[in-house]
Amino acid sequence: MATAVRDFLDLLAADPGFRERVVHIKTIPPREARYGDLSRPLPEGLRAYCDGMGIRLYTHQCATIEHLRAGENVIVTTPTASGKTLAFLLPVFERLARDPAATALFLYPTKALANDQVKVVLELERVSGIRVDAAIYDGDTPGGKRPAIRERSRVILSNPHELHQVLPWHMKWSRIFRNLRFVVVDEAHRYRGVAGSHMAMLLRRLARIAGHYGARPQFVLSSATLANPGEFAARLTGEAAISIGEDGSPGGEKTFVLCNPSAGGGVRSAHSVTKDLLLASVESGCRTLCFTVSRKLAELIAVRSGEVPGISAYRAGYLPKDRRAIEDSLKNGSLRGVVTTNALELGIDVGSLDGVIISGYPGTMISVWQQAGRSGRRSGESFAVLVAFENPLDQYFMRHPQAFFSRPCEHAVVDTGNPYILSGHLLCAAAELPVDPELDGRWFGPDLMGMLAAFERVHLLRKASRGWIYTGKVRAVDTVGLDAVSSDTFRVMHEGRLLGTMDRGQAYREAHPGAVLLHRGETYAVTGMDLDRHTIRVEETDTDTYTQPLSTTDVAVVQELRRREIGGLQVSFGDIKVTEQVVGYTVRHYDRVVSHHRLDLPPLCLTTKALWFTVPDRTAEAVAAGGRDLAGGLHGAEHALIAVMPYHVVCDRRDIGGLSTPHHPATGAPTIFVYDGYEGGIGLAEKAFALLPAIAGMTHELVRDCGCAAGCPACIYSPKCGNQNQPLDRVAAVIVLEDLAGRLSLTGGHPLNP
Amino acid sequence: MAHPFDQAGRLWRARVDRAREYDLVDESDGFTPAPWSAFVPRSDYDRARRLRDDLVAGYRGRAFEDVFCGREVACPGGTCYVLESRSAMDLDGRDPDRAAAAILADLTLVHGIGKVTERRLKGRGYRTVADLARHPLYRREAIRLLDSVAEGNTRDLVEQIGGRHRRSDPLLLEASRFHAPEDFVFLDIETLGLFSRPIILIGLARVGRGSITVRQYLLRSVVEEEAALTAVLPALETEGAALVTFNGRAFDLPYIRERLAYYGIPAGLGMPHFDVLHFARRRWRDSLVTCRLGALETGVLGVDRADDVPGRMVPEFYDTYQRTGNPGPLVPVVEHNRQDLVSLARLFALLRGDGDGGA
Repeated sequence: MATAVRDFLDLLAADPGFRERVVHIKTIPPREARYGDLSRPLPEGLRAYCDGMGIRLYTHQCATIEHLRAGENVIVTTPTASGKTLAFLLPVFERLARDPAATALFLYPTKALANDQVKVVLELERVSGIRVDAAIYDGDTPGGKRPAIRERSRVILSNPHELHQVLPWHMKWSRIFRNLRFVVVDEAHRYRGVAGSHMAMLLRRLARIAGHYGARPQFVLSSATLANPGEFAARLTGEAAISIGEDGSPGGEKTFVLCNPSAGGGVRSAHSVTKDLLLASVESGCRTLCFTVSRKLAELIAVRSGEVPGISAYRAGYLPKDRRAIEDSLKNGSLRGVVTTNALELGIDVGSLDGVIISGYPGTMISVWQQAGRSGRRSGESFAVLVAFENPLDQYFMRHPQAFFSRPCEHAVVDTGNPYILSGHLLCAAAELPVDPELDGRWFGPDLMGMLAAFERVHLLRKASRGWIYTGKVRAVDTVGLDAVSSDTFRVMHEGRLLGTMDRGQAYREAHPGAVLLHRGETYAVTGMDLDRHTIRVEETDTDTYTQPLSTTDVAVVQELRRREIGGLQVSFGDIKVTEQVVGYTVRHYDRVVSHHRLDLPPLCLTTKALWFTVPDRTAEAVAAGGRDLAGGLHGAEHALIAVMPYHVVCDRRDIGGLSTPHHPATGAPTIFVYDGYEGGIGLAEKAFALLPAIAGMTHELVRDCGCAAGCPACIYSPKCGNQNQPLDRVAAVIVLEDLAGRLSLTGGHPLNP
Repeated sequence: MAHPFDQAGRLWRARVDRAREYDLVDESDGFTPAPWSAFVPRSDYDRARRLRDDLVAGYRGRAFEDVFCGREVACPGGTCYVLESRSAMDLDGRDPDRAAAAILADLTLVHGIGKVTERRLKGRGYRTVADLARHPLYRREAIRLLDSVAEGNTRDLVEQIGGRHRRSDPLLLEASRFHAPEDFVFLDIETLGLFSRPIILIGLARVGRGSITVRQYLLRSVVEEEAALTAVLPALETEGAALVTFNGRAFDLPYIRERLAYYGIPAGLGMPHFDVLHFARRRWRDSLVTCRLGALETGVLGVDRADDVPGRMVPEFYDTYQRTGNPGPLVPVVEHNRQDLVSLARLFALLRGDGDGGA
């Protein structure tokens, strides 16, 4: 039967421009539904809801219900559209029906998602007749409605930022906390890395307050597929959880295509191929989502696809009503293609889609499968296309499709020991209830006394009769933002109006005097920067040039915490201090450099965790003997390592920094540093230290097998190099990496745990 | 020796130091701040900063107890320090008949009766709420109100009047005449900011026998907060006591509730509450630019403060004391609070139309 999806796939095979760029096609076969049974039936109202919707419960939904009935914590990791929401809504409503005082808190990563999900919750409430007065309580909830929600509602939909603000007001929420039976964390996989550390501490603060009122809620986590769901849930919530990942829902056949714009004749950029695929898909009659890696690209591709009607961009930063209108248009079919950032990766209901185009590897396999999962329905075909960028990781996958499809989803890292995040939330907790070291040790870990003492020395906490109390003159929750621990904020002002904010590092790199700044489709020139007042002034400009900062970076070793020596190779992990100086910038027109400029800005300092390793003398000599450049080899090896790291350690490439030098004073040898881009470190270099044999092996293969002559964006060029990718020497990089991978493989490829 | 968390501690300290919960405005901009906006005029700010520095210099080496002559009191939550001062002031005595007459003349206090119905009922001979006790429809509600009036239950009356009318209704001031001057507890607190932080000074004032007595629980350290809260609680929970504040409905009372909950101290705090801000706004909204207490003092009471600290800046004055141990910056905070209480009581008297205006 000819379908729109079939038409599109036939076009890919027939059109020479597509055909020669399609490097691999994988067909994922259809799945049969597997239904389950409950040990005892659901209450009447919930049965009526299921019957009315024609719902028969799948195995994973039954398992979730039974475990929650048994009082356990649960993490559900079945794919998008498998009915995860219903799996936890039914047992929550069942409990709330039985216990008329019981309450539940649902946490969503964004307000948009809560706004979408509340519709399902309200419908369930209406049809089942189980009264819970479900309501959203977030930054958009009008002040006049808040008291009634606090007094009456038993199901509250909110987000972590709001909860962070609400916890100090616990006495106003005492009814809800006293009766809190469930805390649902939707899209839990979003809380990894820094966001995960914050969420973990926020949930501990929540559990601590609930405990103060005598409640101990069950945690329900709904997540994308992960490598370590049980461990992740335990880290995030502080409690053991049952992991449910076996999907019982049915699915139609899906065709997954890998498309490499660099393959085939003619020079085509990934963006232009993405646009052509989107147009072809929409013209074949497929309802299509196209995921891009940045807001800027979402706008750009949507604009370039303007020749076909019914295509729109979608991203964070749009007004809620505009976003809602786009979601609805996609659902009712009046829009046929939407180009989006990962904003639509979340479970917002946009109806069923025929196809998904993923423009650029989104950084994790978790995201790949989340995004690909947006297309497809219970029966019938669907497709997903991954369009590769010219960076090493994307190109590696194009050359090794089997490796791509057999990749497990990543481990989700949550570091609950980060001293900055931990101590920040301790400060908040002390402002919520006095901290009693005996009772609160379970929330804040073994370093609690040390933190309390440190805070007393800076006059932020004092020991009183009931525990340690907060004595700061600023609200603790305002001091401790939930986002990354960035040191301070600059305001971007346009004609006296606040345009946006950015942290100091971003400001120095992107909004120094003379910089061209893009904001919501407009181009601005930076005319002034006031370092004391943290203000950046911009004016509108009409230019197609852009600016790129030039910076120098130095690393000093503060303390070496671990060291391994393997056959003359020294691998270390420890505390370092990175000093970055933005010394100037270049003005560019497309890729041509128009001019160079100097800047006089103070240095940016970062104290963080790093792994570093030295290159043995014999290897350095081998590089020199071949007439190659050691500095270029180290630099190239560093870039490639950082490019490969996100696959092994859950993070974004931008979360990691690197520095290489032919001679470092701390080691007295050629050295490569790889460090966490966050104050205090967030466990990335630490994990990479343990996984270095695997990372080095993959990096070596990547650079060795690249088809280029002297380095290219697919191997050792970095899209975010502060030194304009100079110097680089691919042959030398291969020698360095071969030596590293070879020596590490002597450990049998096993992790380097101490 | 370096402690592992000292660096984190310094980071948070630096953040706290940098943050301010108010913005500065230049008066030259022709900008008039709204009554509760978080603005401090730059000239006030500069003057206050100079004042603080002068005080730090002037009181260097002086002990707290030496600067503030008070006494230590022991209470369930520990010990704390209280300062007492007195000045001349009077309020009219109890006048339950006047209060009852004013309230009962207002038929619209009965649920279901609006202005139109009231006129009709009065035309038919229902002159007071007492007459409505015979009305078949309004009987029950009327009797409830009559009971409250008979008991002089101002707590219920304040809710009833405030709920049927506005919180600024002058009838509420009439209802206050069920109380003797000694019943009123004037309350004003100073804090480390807007909620979620310690209270650093609880000021209470009572009027009686021609004078106003101000009792200020000034925290020598925030550690004494729990003690100070338990020290003032009996005064607030005494049978027959009535609370008088300036914006206490939105600020002081919820703040005290929050701090009591913080320490896990159970308290009802259900006493009748007269918030002078509401009455003052209604009375002087058209004649004054703002109805901040300071503006009312100048414009209505004719008081001028010297060496005052803007309320918004109290947290940083206390923080300076907290970190240096120098009591100097607290001197204007204590005076500021005392003056607020005296002015509050005088405004209350003036609004009620007592005697000679409470002078």
